[in-house]
Amino acid sequence: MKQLLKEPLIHFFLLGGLLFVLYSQVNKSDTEQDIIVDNADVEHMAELWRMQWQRPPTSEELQGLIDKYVNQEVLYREALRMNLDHNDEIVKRRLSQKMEFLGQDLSGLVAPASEDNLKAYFEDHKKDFATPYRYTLYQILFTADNHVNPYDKAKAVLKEYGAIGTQGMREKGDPFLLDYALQDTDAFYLNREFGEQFSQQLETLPKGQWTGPVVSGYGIHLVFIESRTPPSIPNFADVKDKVQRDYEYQMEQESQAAILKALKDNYKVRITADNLEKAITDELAQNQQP
Amino acid sequence: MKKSIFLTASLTIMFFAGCKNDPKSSSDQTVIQRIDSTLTEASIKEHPFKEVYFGNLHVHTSWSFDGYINGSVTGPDDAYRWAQGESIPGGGDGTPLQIKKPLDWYAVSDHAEYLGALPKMADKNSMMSKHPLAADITGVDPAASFAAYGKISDGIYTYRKKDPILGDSTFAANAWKELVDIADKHYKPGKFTTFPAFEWTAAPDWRNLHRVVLFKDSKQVPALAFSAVDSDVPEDLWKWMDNQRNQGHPLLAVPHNGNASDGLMFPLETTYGGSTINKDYSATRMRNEPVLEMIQIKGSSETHPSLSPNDEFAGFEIWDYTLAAGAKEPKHKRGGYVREALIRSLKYDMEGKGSPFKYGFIGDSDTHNSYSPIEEDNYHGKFGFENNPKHRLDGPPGVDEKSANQVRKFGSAGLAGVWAKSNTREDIFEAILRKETFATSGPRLKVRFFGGYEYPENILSGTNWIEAAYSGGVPMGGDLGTSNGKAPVFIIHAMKEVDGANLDRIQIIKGWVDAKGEQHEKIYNVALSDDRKPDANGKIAAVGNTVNAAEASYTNDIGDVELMAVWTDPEFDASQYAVYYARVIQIPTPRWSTYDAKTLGRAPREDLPISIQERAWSSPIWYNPN
Repeated sequence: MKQLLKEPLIHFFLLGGLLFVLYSQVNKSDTEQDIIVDNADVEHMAELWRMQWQRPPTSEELQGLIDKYVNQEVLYREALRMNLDHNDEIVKRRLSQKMEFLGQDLSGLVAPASEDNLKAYFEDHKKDFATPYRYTLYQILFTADNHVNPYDKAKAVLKEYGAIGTQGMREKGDPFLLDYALQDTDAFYLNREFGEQFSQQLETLPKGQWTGPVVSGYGIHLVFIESRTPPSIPNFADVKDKVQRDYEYQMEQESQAAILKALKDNYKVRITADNLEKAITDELAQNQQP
Repeated sequence: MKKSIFLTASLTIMFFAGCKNDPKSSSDQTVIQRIDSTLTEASIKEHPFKEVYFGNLHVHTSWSFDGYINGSVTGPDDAYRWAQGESIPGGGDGTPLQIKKPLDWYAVSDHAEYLGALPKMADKNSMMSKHPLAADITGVDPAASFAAYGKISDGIYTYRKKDPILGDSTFAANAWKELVDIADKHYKPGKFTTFPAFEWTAAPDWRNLHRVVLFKDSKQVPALAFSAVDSDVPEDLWKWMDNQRNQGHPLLAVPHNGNASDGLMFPLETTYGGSTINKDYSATRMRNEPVLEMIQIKGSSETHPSLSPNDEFAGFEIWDYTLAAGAKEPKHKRGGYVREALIRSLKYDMEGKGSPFKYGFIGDSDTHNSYSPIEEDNYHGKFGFENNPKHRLDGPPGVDEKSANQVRKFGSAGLAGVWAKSNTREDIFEAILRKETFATSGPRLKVRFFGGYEYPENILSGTNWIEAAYSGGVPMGGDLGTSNGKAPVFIIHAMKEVDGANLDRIQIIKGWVDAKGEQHEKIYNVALSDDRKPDANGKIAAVGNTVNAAEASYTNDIGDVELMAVWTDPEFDASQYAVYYARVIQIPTPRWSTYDAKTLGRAPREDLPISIQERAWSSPIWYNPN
């Protein structure tokens, strides 16, 4: 039963049933054979007229509008009776859009961002909230602007001066507008400043010595990693806001997909078209699996 | 029968559930607390000599009437997620949108006109679904939808009449508040900055006068945005902005697409609003709009080749249309482009009328699909329907050849580089106010530009040269003091985008006005890659081109990683008003249309450039003899 209560579609039907009763109480007018034009309807028609013509309708025009409305309503209802709404592309699109709206609204009702739900989500998605690698490091750079072969140059400098530590090494590299010493900096910042290639290589390099060559978009680096802190999982309380943002977004996407899937299960879909590329046919078949 | 009950029931649920979307009156409080707690927790990195932060402030989503009609399936929340590196739905052929490297800041600035109204047309519980155009807008017939778009735009641009349903003020106030709340939700001081913003969309007779209006923070914003149906006169917008500022709501405006204004953006003598250019007009304009968009998807506004015939790099991403249907070319280039206006502004200043066009530069987007196509090899167009390479190159279905060509001529989005002490609303906003900004055509190259009189020639060999540059002069966006006879010295430094293309050259563009009031411009090549030197006639060999069209690739075998120069104006005349800005040019790289051709397995179109030289423009530094 507990599992059942978690099922969004069950909620959907329960709520739907309840509201259907309510709806039939509220919308008592306009039964099948009655067409009622009340004050609100007339005001609405007049407003639309004003919008189009920038003045209120005359009483003659208003009468014309009401006639038109009644005629339209009669034809509309007869059309529904004759099922003319079926297989009309515009009607299909409008109604399916309305169903999608419904899915969005339902997710907030079915899966509220309660403390328990957020904690559970956090437990399942811990990896997404992990802190990035943190480093304290020193680096020097050799660019192709200054060296015919910056890679060989870096190797040569490493061989000759690799043992001198972090004092006096700065001048061995090219002058360049990048920090020599990076105190307690994270991979997010390194990606931004040095490019992705660079920071990935740092994850496995030895600490406490000059190493390299390390390649970046600027050229060839030598790096001295003083400290490296691997990713860790933060406390739930520290990232609760982010968890909530992700959770709500995720739930909205999921409930849309879940509703669509549940509804789709009532149908048997067969793609019989044979003029499609094989890859497309395969993928479509995959998508139609219940 | 079972189905119809189900349907009725579900529509009813929407009636109740729809309330969820209404902003809650208590959310203000929570939002502010949330931000404060983030502020105290995260340590915000401070850079005394400033760091560059890249972002866009001109971003539309499906909440903009034209974003929705043209196929955007995402809203402001998705836009902020995208800028931080998440993948979001793209519409079109279904390709999701994801940036390769996250941005530092982003501001969703949907059109104020009917903000958030169109997506609600499909929502039966919203008053918007009762709109007479709702069926066309939300229908599948592209012609009907496009015609409806035309009617709504006509109402804004031609008749300037507020649609009573779409323009309902309670709805507008709620939508604006929700937009501000979403910006707050994603603000992470020190890491990712967002701003409340909207676009004022005035285009009298389809001549573009649009401005994005940006607020410094969310604590004090007005209840309603100011829209072009309130007034399409820039002077009225500034009056409204002055009024906001006096109430303690710091804000600024950013004009864009002078190129599509038919000369209206930088008027000659008399403005669209009927003002004559004088000291008061100039001061009002500059108080409200410190910077402009040098480039965005709808082309570059630096200069037109016909205005700068001696500029070999002038014909870059020119989008030579007004906003009118039928792809009409603007008659007046003068008054539409920034360089000419900057120099003419010196002339007004000389005549005692103030300097109405003393603009700094940013690059921006104007996406209508939440994401910003700044990465040339990750381009998915301006509108949702363009998220399909065939629609980008051949034009969307049902669109005539002329309009398809307008879509092909869209460039990838520009980017704003802002030199600020930290990545916070306060610091980024203040940096834009003082014009310490530069524009790029998309890549994240870094440009420093300083001017002063006492800089030593070898200043760049010092390790602390940036500190010395700040203390001995002014950064981009600043004014040189009066000269004691010495010519000004400029420091220009450029670093390539770390994972992008090498640099070709740095240029200084100088504009000045002589004693007779004649406008002049001259381009100096101040740093060249690959040890190139001008020949005896002053000609410079092109940097080369490594682009392989079939592969849509290039190599960094040419060009430099870093270029710099200390340059003294050799033709300085202390009695002349002058303006200087730097332009940094990259080596050629494939244009988005070349990447698309490769994706589709075709040869690139012959009517589009295969490669382009992307670039950055620094905000100017000004010299005033008095």
